Amino acid sequence: MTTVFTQLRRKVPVLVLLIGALELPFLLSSQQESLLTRALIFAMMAASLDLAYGQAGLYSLGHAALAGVGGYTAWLLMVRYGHESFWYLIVAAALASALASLVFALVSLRARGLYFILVTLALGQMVSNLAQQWDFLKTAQAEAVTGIYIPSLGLGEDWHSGTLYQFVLVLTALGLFTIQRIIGSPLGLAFRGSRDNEVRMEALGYDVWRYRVVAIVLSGTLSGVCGALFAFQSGLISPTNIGVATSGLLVLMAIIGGSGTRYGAFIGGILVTLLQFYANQWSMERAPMIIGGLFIVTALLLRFRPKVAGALRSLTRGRVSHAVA
Amino acid sequence: MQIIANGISLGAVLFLMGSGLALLLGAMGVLNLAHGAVYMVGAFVTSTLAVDQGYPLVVAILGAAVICAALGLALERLFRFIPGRPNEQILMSFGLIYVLANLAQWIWGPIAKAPFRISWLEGAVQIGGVSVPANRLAIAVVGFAIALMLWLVQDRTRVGAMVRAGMDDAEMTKGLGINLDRVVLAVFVLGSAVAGIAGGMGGLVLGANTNQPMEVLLMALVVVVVGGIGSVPGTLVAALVIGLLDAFSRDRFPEMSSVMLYLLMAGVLVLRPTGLSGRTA
Amino acid sequence: MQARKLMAAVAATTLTMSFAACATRDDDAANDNEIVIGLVAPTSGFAADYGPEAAQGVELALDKFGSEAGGEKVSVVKVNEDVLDPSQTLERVKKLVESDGADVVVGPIFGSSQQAVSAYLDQQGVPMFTLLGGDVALAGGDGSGFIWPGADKKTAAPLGTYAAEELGYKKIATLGPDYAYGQNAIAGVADAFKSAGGEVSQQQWVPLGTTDMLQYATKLDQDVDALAMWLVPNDAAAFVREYRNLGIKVPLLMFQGVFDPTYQSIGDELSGEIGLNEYNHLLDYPENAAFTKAYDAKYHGIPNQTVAFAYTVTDIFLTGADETDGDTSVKALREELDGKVFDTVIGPASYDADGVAASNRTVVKAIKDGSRYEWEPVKTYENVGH
Repeated sequence: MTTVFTQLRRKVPVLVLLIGALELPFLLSSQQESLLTRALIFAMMAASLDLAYGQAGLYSLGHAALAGVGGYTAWLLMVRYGHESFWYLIVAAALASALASLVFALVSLRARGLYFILVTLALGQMVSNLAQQWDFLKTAQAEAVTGIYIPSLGLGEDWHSGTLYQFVLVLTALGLFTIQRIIGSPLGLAFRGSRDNEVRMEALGYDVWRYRVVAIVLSGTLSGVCGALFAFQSGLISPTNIGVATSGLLVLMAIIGGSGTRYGAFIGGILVTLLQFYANQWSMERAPMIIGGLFIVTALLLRFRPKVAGALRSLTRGRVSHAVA
Repeated sequence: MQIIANGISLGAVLFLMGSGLALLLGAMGVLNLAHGAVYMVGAFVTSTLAVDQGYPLVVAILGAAVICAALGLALERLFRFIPGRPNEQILMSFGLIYVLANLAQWIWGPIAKAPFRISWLEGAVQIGGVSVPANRLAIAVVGFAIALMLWLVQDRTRVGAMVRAGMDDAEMTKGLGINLDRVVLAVFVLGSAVAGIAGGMGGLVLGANTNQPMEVLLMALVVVVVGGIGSVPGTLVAALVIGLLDAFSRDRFPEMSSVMLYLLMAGVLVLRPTGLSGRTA
Repeated sequence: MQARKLMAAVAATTLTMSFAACATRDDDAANDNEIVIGLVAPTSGFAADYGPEAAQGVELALDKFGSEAGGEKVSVVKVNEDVLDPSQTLERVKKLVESDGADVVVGPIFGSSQQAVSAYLDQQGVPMFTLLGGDVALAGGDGSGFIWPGADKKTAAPLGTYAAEELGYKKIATLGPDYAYGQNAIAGVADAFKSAGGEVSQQQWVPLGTTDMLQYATKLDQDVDALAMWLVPNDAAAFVREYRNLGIKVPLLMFQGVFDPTYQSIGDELSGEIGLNEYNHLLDYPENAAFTKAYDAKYHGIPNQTVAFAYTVTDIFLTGADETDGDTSVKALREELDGKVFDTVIGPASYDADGVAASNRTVVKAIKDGSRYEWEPVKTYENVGH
């Protein structure tokens, strides 16, 4: 009884929030809806990164490329081959990025520590450079691939920025729910175990390598879906969107909100995306300085003022991250 | 033949970009991704001194080396807060890239500086039937000189011995009473000074612009990783191999040229995590 | 406990978001008694010179009109074009149109940004006046674009014609960057050269992100009569440096020449070479004389192409809006501007019914005039662009 009650209590505010967020279009201009949609998509991307990054301790600097595989797949099938069904495109994007992340995992997991980070960076740049230089992955008139629109759900829906926002919000909630389920499951426990004490996990009979592959593939597949959503929302996707700069931003999102916590990466994603936009409103010339400053302050804060960071994080931290196998 | 000459000339530039980073990554594994930003500062400073103020190139490049060494000193203070924490080092590096690139735009303006023009380095030299531009030759000479110097420092001096000891077993080295912090500081300053020289020499061919922090970083990373983190001779060999590979692939399959580089980098990391001639951990 | 903390955190985030939302909500409604020009050009990153330069041009046009057109006040809102990430430019342009009430967009500069924002601007019915080229598919019935100074595929064509007809060249090679604008511009030169009876024997394309230009110089087929090229100024400077170091004597045909200030630092390496200018401050038209004088009075110095064309398209837009009594819809402007000849800084120019401009191109020669390097006008080709 008590557990059910606690669980319910935990879910009520989330539900209230979700419903509240669903009603936001009544308050916002369509530009703000569009910006929030973008924020949700990036937040979801950061949350999917954190599944491998925070939970399984696999520090990746190539995550945006996996989202990019999803986005470019959606573009390819839609613009080049004329497929118009949302479901078809999103499943294709998920499958393509699952495959790509499997390759990522098989290659990068042969290295460890610092070397792992560098392999992910190399693989990510490889994908981004492929998109930049290979004619097959370019539309005739631009460096970015363009001509993408929001595909049909087959339900006679009327796409505009408000409905797209609501739709993405629902998808995001589903995605977050999925991630929560994974984190809370024995699988999630094994992820954290392989992060915190690999030797012990091996001794307990876990195949750590296999869990890491699963973590990367799950994380990559989810972000591939986000990549496709990004392409639908923006109408385009460019090599920069999938390169190391974006991967670095995703890492910032995950860490600033509290990597390895329940909603930390997600909230970080929303905040950083909004800040990125509004920093540029404050100062067109010096916006990079604001973003760069945020990177540096976050790095120092995490280390230098553990108490400050701790206090900030305790706001968002779920109990789950403390549990170690 | 011409392709080989082109490849070697590019390799010399790449070696200069990579050598400073090789030291930093090697010594205590500091993931200083802001290395390319230091290179950019070196390029801009050299441009100001040599092109705008008319100082001799050697003076300008020494000036760049000094300023970048000072910058290295500052960076070391920042990175000292976050030793052995790749997460924070990544964030710190990215932050520095954003800030330094924007700062450079503020100081030197948004317009890229054309490749520096040095009158005594104009023209080309004929070597075995191929033309090698004199400025490339100068870059190669400086590159080899720096390689030699770094190698001597690393292999033949007390500081070098401490660096090597720290790389092999930090705990043991500390236990022997060696102040590793000071060694890291020395490496940071030296590495940054080399990045400054690289920026100045590289500017003969590439000029200076605010895209360089990322561009140079990525090239340098490929070189360092392929060459074996922390190894000066390895970095030199890797730079030449990559220069040749790039010249060749751009000639034959231009659409795939930079993909090849990252493929090579990933391949080396996977097959020989310590690089072509890296130290075994 | 957990739930409350979580709620607090999320509530705080939502609050922040709605605050940010509120901050921009006040000025939501576009003022109908005012014409707002949205200038979209880069102000940070490696192309950050475009933004301030274009802003100067727009300001000068506003000065000319006393900041009034069609009985309405005219104001400017500037937006930073993200050169590398067009999706961010799109979000900013959405705010520009919906919150700041922009009635027209001047810019963006880069092809990817134009592609990114054009579908949205078309849907909003906001005209997009490009100032440095653009894809013709963004004009006509499918887009709200007004493409200046001409279609990308035609704008450089006189260079090929001049090479074949005036210089008597039989065979040329080309060099250009491997992206849309470069391919189109080079294709324009090559097509014109071929249709005048010439042969294009070698075409080299420089991939995006390339910084080392040596191999494109060493690989050049030196049997050709000339090399027709277009690269952004810094890459052009790097290429010319390698070219001269290697002692290659093949004459250059440079679309756009090389812009200042890069040109001033490499001018002596280009002495005598032929170029094709869209804008040139030496052009002998009354409107150009007035413009360069106004520029010097306000900003001191010599205006470049970005300033001149931002000035020109803003001028043309305001003239159009004046005639339509402030109706800035795409349809009204297309009808108003169609075929109407304007005296611009580069001579007589006009837009067609699709919104694609045709204007003069000037073949130029690199010379030194006192302490300055100049591109001296040699021959004018009229009505280029359709």
